[in-house]
Amino acid sequence: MDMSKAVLPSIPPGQTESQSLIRGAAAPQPLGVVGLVGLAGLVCIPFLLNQAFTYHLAIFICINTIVVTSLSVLARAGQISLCHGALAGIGAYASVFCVKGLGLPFAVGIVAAMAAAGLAAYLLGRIVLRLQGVYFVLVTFAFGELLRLVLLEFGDVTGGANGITNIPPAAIAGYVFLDKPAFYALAAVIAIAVLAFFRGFYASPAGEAVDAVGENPALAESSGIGVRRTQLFAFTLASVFAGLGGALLAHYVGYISPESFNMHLSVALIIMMVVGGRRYLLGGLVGALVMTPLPEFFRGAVESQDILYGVALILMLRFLPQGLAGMRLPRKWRKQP
Amino acid sequence: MTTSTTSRPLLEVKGLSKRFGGLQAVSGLDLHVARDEVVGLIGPNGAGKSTAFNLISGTLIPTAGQVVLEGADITGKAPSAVVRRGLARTFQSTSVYQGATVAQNLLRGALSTLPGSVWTHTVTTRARKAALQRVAREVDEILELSGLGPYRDVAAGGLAYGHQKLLGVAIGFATNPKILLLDEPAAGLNGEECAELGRLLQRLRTHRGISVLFVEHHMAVVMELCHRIYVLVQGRKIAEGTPQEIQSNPAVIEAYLGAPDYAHA
Repeated sequence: MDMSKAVLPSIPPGQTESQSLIRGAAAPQPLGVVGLVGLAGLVCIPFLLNQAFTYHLAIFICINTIVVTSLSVLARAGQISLCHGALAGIGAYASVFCVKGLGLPFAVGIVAAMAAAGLAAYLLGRIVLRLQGVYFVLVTFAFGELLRLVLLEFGDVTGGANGITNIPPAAIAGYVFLDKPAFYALAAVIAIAVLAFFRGFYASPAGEAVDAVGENPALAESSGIGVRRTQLFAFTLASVFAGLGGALLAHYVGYISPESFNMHLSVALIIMMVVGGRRYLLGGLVGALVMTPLPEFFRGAVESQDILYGVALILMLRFLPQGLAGMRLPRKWRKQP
Repeated sequence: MTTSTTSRPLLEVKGLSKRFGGLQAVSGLDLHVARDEVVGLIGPNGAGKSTAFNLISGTLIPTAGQVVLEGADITGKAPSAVVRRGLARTFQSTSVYQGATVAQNLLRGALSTLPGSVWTHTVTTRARKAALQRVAREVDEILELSGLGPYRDVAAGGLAYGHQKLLGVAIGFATNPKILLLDEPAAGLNGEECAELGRLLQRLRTHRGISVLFVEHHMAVVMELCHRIYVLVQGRKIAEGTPQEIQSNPAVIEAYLGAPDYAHA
């Protein structure tokens, strides 16, 4: 029944830094000077290099960080979704509809994107979250395809296969984020805000419930943490931030089509999550940092790109199931009595 | 028997039955547990004890019958909903959050006692902070009572087997139940650990007057702790009474040891 374990081998999570008081009762631990300086340095790199291409990559890394970090909430609750890209698409289309179609401000479009994606996931989750493991994965895959076909079919609203072009760029209080450095600054600020939010989230009782359900659903259910209720919450929360990422993407690229949010995106997000480390707050960031620039190195070998990805994923799951963010952990674990 | 003399029992099970295809795992089980009472459920392997537990706690939905907790019908409700009404259960095998620390395990057990739901738990309000502090105090208390205090920050997966079983019971206790269902808490424990478990149950009960219903094969533990005992054989209740009555009941002896030769003569 529990096929998710077969897809992604279970790992002993937690037990990283939170030796303090009980996590839920305490504020999240400070990041530490090293962490903050490292993060600040990372954010500054594109400004130092000051190349259009670096900005472009960095913007994608920010967007991927947001979406992958949100996807790992669902993973930590014990479910894998193959429609996270599609949910980002719902956000993108919702924002574009508000900003381009109705002429509303960009900020309203972002809120609409998050609300639309969250609502879609809530309604879908209400129905399909009684399924577990691989069955849930299959239904989310089907939902992604369904959404793609719907977007293609209703061409007068969605632009059909041609997509929507000339999407207005992001603008806040009259300032238009037209050039790449400006949009990068915006994306970086939002990505950091999202990471800060999830940092607080995982230290809250809700985050504790998500981890409990993911780690031992039977025990969680029989100690009063409803598995389905918690997974529905995780699915909705994950989708809200997928919608945010989708909207940012739409306003950055200026063009969306059903193919921008197809299954390949969903799979790429899962790969990033697994490579980065799906049990770690910074797993999404690490995954996005490593995997976003990778296709650029393989430009010359487009045909074999997917094969390389597949091999990389298998090796990753075999030798580093906790992802890159968990690399330091084994040594710490051996110290345990 | 005692039903009419005392006030309404805490837990009442009436005509509980479960059929798996052609197998009648539990048939027409009646039992009750009063407040502050420790009741044992014993029987040979395959008697349907664990099934009865799963039916009462909501893991399985009964084919027929009723489970009533404090006068409210909880038949067929989800386990998590049943826990919130005050009936918690532990598992036969060790069941803990392996990667989480002992304190975190207990915190997760106590999560359901927080007001609100997972939808509102992300937001930290003043009331929630106070509730979390209360939970943190309770966790410390349970650590103290269970003797797991020294292992507070150890990953549960790194504990010895006996300690993991204790932690399982402690997690159940952390949900602040009115009645705790223990599925073979002493299985796999050595004599010293069994005694420790017995003492833990006594401490928990004196600390916060809860009832206990437990399935157990370890007769010394059962006879020492239980006020009353039900005996289940092939899904049917064949006897109930005090430990002394059960020990001398011929039907029970027959079920466990087989009929003596002279019975056939």
